[in-house]
Amino acid sequence: MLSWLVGALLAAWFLVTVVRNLPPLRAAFLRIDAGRLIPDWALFARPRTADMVLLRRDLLLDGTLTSWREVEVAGPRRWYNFIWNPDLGPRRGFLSLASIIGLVARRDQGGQRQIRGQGTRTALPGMTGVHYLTVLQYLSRRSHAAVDATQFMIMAVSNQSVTGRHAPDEPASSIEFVSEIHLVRPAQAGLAGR
Amino acid sequence: MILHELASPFNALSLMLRIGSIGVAITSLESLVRPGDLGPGGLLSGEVQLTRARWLLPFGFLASQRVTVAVTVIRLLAACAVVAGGSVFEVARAGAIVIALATLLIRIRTPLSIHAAGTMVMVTFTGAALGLGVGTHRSMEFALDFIAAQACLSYFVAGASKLRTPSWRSGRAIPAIASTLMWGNGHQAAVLNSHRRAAFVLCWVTMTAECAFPLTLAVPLQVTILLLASAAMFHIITAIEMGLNSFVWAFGSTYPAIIFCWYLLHG
Repeated sequence: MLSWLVGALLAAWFLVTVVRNLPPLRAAFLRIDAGRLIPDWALFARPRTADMVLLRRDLLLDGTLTSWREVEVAGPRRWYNFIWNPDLGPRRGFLSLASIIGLVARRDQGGQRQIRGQGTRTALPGMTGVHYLTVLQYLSRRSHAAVDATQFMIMAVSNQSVTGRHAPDEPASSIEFVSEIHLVRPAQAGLAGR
Repeated sequence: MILHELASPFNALSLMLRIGSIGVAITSLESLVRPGDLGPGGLLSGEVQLTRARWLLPFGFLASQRVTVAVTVIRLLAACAVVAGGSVFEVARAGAIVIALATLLIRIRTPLSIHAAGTMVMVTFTGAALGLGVGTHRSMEFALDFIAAQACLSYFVAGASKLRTPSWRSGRAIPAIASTLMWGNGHQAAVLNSHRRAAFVLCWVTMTAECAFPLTLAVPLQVTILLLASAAMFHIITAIEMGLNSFVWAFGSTYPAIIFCWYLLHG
């Protein structure tokens, strides 16, 4: 009896996986399946053809606005990554965050062009979304004591493996997203200067 | 191990668990050498992520870095035990259950950083834990059928979804992936950009081979072995070229289930 119960459970899981992988239903499952328990097997179907780069600039307590600088979420690729790749998790994590933040912002913009020098127009649901808040919390916790407020930008840089690593003062390939400026509360003295 | 021994459900599950556990041990260690990522100041912090759905509230305890590190250590120890003693039923059963539960908890906490290899680990170890948990011949058979079916579906969907994408059909996808720092390298990108026809062939070979993977259950056994060896080689190449190290173990672990199902279908 228990064996058949296991069989039924696994068969149901497989059938739901088949349905989840039908292209018209992907977006719906993404919303429903918060635990990500139903596999999405469309690997590299729409591959990212540019690296996503996170930049920040800070408004300091003395009123100074710093210039944009890159925040490295993980180290560079190494020759031994075919067997040992501890940086893949955070790199993959940031790629997911950047993709979804960009997607939500494009949806909220409703086809309107972005005004240069302004933050990306996004509705409140975008700014209170888990992905936006995850990046904001990450930057907030890494802010030193002199930082009053921070703003982040997600940039897509193409061809980095050929032309070399992008420097923040070079013209960007494309700006995917610019956040609002948010007040930050440095977590504790121990984190200062990280 | 002689191939026909994989016609026994426990032998097939045991080999599957031991291959998969090597990957689980590596990914657990990778996570443990960067504990800061899991903490409140890390990109993979659970504090915000666990607010993404109301039903995740009872899992709030996972937001703590200490709890997540403890779960990862337990997962690592269980994986080591399975690699060393997975041919013993009790060890395989206990190991599969512990790894499955730990994998599900980590996945529920922060699915952000988990790619398809992590998804396959969830599928294989949960299936194996249910099959071995009940422990009958039939339940283990159901678990292996499920794992083989998921493996075939994963390759097929990966191939079919690429076929729908213009950049894959035109042969531009692989050079474009190679030109990123995240997945590629300069040498690879330069070679593929100067040999457009080779890039085109590579794209189509990838899509066709992925779509054809379910045929491993239909063709003669020698051809099945050849196809599985080619698939393993594909994962080794992507590990070297793209840094996808865990795919080798996660997807390679499903091959004993495929061979078991081949014997089941062909007698």
